[in-house]
Parts: sequence; structure tokens; C-alpha cells
Amino acid sequence: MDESRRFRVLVLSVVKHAYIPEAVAAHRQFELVAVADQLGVPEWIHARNQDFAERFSIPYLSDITGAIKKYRPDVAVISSEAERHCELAVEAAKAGLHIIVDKPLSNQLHECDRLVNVVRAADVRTLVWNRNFMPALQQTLSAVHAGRIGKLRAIHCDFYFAKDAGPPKGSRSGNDPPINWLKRQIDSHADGSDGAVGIQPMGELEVEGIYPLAYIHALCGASIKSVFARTASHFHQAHVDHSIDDLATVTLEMEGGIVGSLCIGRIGAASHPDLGAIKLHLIGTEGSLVVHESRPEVASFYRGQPASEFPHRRVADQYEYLLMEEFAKAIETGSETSLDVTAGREICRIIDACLRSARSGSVIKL
Amino acid sequence: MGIRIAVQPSIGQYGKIVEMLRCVRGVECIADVAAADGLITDDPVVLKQSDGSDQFALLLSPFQVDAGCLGDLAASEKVVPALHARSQPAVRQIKSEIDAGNLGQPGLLRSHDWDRSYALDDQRLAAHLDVAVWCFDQWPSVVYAVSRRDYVQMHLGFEGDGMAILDVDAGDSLGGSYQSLHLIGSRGAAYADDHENVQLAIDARGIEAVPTPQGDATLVNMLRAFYEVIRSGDSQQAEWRHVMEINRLVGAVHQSVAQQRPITLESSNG
Repeated sequence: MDESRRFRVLVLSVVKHAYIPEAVAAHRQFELVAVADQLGVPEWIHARNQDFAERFSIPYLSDITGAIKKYRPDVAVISSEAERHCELAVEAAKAGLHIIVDKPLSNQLHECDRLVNVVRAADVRTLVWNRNFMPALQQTLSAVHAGRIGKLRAIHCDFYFAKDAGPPKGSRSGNDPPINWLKRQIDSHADGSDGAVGIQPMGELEVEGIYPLAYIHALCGASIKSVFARTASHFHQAHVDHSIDDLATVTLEMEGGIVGSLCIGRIGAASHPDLGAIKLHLIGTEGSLVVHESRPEVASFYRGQPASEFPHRRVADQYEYLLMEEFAKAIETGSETSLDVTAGREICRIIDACLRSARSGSVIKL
Repeated sequence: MGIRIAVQPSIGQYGKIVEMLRCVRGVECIADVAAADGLITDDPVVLKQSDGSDQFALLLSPFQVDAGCLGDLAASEKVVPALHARSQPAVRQIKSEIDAGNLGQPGLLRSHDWDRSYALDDQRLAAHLDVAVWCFDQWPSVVYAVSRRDYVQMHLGFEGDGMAILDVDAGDSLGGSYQSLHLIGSRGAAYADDHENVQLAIDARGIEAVPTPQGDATLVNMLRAFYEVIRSGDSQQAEWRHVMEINRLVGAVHQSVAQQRPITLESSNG
């Protein structure tokens, strides 16, 4: 009989990636007890929260304090718009709840600082959702930590999502108004490409930069000393209209003389047959590694295959389960998680420096 | 009668080049240098001596030519700089996709070149910069570079949207070579990666990834390009201006490393 402790989970807003609370619910030690959100949020947010609550046959309350009091949760899982992540997490941490929060931690560094301070005072465990438990990443981590390539000299990460983001660049005629960012994000919820949902437009560095930087954080643990970045709105009209990036390159210099780089982009569905090209290149003093993040996978091709279907499907991927295993252990033993809010805050600081570098054309020291 | 090409006997790859010239349709490889329509050499001094002749020449290491000689070559219409990196099969394929418009406006070029069998010198950096400029059909406006022992990373920015990151490693830990190049454009992307071009060899000791050889395709492509120049009679002055600009770019890479800052370049575009 499984005698491990079970944790009661409050879903604090689920407007974006339902796969996070779904992954929480799938783990044997976690039980969703309610969905809650702030009373004053727009109606579309209430509707999404309500839908999710109905799917899991749990109540939805537009009253966070009341929900915490009534359902006595241990954990809050937050997948709101990025600009509310920290606000909701602060409220949960102050109530003593452990926190799982979607990426990015925030688009405001001062909000990250506020959360880190509250979490420290409340002594609760936190997890910023990440992909570090992907099988290929775990294999790479094992090789690096076992000394297979010696001391790390350079690390490079390509992180391209082959998704579209509305009409292509150049499609808006002179008389058309700019694309409404929030409306486009709300509309794109159906295909899961609404990672940047919110009032404030966010580019790919802000939305997806956490993934490759979390890889680098896990693989080398070295702090980043300087960044030089270039950004562009190269693919999508919505990004052009709001002067935000959908393509970026970053040169990183880390402690210990390690050199690194990032190539990030929302490169459009035509540019890759699957989710996108996600690769790692590591150079060490004793050897090197070239890694496909998507492996292992199975290829399927058949008559009538929808153009939107990925022919290569990842298999043997338990990253969500492993994240939750790690989080359960962190709550039970007080151990650290692979990416807590302090590390998430550091990544936001690096992204902020990258964006400042791209704007100024200069190297930003951290 | 085909186009007659002679190879200067003293050059390092003499035997291989003579052999590969047989793969180029329309070419007759001859020993008599004076009677040839084209000469293949690695010595700019030889070309100076034959200045004024009607003979075309392919100079194998144009990025090694010293500044004094470069001025003379730039005035020449018939000396062809061998921009060998462009002749690599993967590079040619990606460039043909760009030229066909399949990829749209180039946005990002990323390349890795890990190989300790070639020195990490200016010629090697120039070859990578040449490929980037060729793919973008534009000169970069800014370059930022970082360097470590046996390692250089070059980050280029182009006017408009374009950017490139190129890294070159010649470290001792490399027991074999690895290359990759991908180009992300506004309409599509092309990926060339040795990672995709390996076979598995399995024995009692374990499993090993073995690259599928590409033969001498790079050399043959370069010889074919030389043949086309002789056939067309095109002037090579613009190519030498290009070589000089690439050398200037290599200088900017060194300047960036030394000063630890991005170097803004005066426009060389059009």
C-alpha cells in the first residue's frame, strides 16, 4: 500500500498551460482540490478557470483567500498570465503554500525579487516549470557530472519552436490597425501557442529563454558574467507590431571562462516538421557532446496525415512525472528543486540583460 | 577541345587535384603550364610573374596572401580566389535554397566547426565569415567575438534582422571533426549537421557513431567553379575586393576579442 504523503493542490488560475495542473493531478501524491482566482479578472479568465474546474469535478472560486481557508491546500499551481505569476505566488507563499509556477517567472524583475523574499520568509518549496527532466537532458547531465567530457569549456543551445504566431511579417496593410496582442494570444489558446498571454507583449527570449537557460544552469552551474544579444522581429506581424523579438542570438560568458550561446526563435511551422530544432552542443577539456533534446522519438507517416501533426513523436518521456517526484521530495525533505524561484529570478535577470544588450548594442555585465 | 588546366607541381595537394580534375567534364588536365588556359597554384608570386598573360589562375589560399600582394591581385581580372568553404556540399545546398527563395529572407545562421586537424588561424576564421556573408548576401554591421585557447566564437549582426553565431574549436579533446550549419529564414529553414549523417558501428566494445564520408566533393565543386569562370571569362576584381573585406572582418574579430566589446563596421554593402 502506498503510504506516501498526499498533498492538496489549489489551482491558482489556469488560463495558459493546463498541462501543468494536469501533470500535477497525474502524480499519485497530489490531489487537485479547487481552482481559484482573483475576483476582478476579466470574464475570459473566469471562463477558462471554470472549464478546468468542471473537467476535474472540483469547485471554482473567484476568491483566493476564501479558497485557501476553505480547502486547506498544501500547494498552489499557477498558470496565469506571466504578469500575474508573482502576485499570485506571493499570496500563496504568504499563506504557507508550496508553489509550482509556469514560466517565465515574471516579466518584471522587481516582482521576482518580491516573490523570492516572501518565499524565503515563508520557508516554502518552489518549482518553476521546466524541461530539465527530458530523457536527453538527463543523459547529458549524467555524462557531464560523470566527467565524460572533462571540464566544460563551452555550451551552446538552439531552441527553436516551429510554431506560427498569427499572420506573417509584412501581411498588415498600411490602413490596418496593429494586431491586438492579448486578443491574438487568447485566440491561440486552442493550439497551445499562447505562452505569452497577457496584456504586456513578450518576445521569445522572455517566453522561452528560460528553457535553454535552465539547461545551462543545470549542466554547468556557473553564473553568467556577461551577455551580448541580437534580436529581431523576423517572422510574425504581431511581433513586428509590438517591437518584440521572435528571433534572438546571445553570446554568454560564464565564470570559469566558459563560453556559451543561445539561438532562440519562434521560427514558424514551415521551418521544421516537428516541435522544432532543440539541440545542445557542449565542449569539454576531454570531449564534446552533441545532443538532440527530442530523442527518443518515433516517426510515423501515413496517408491523410494532417499537416499540423508532428510526424516524429517523443516517447519514453516522463519529465512531468519526474518534476513532480522531485517536488514531492522537496516538500517532504526540504531539499532544493531543479529550478526554484531564486534560480527562476536569476534567469529573468539574464533575460533582462539580454534585452538591454539588444537595445543598446553593447555587452551587459552581470 | 576542352579547357586545359595545369596544376603547379609544387603545391601540397597536387596528386589529389590532378585526380579530381578528371571528374570535371570539359576539362583536360595538362602538364605544360604555359600552354594551359588555367593554372592552379597556391603561390601568388607565380601569378605576379605571369601578370599580363591571358591565362586564368586559381589561387588556393587567398586569405593567406599578404597585404602587399593583395593590391596587385585586386587589379587582376583573371586570378580567381579559391573560396573553398563555399564549395562544401552542405554549404552549396543551403545557398541554393536561399537563392531559390525557398527560405525567404535569411534571419539566423548558426555554425559549429570543431576540428583540431586544422589550425585555428585567420584563414579558418575568414572561411566561416565568407560563408556567412555569402549566405546573407550582405556585410555585417557589427561583430562581437570571444576567444579562449583553441576556441573562437563570432557573433555577427546585419542591418535589418540578420544575425549569425559561428564557433570554431581546435581543442585537443577532439578525436574527430564535427560540423554543422543551419540557416533560419523568414519562410523556411535548412539544417546541415554531421549529427544527422552518421552510421552506427556496433561491436563487443560498444556502439560508435561513424560519419558517412563525403569524398572529395568539396574539391570537385571548387574545380568545377574554376572551370565555369574560365568558360565565362568573368572578371575577378569584385572577388578580390570581397577577400579584402573579409580580411577586414577578421581584423574586427581580433579587435573585438582584444577590446572585449562589439565592433561597429562601416558599411561595405553596395
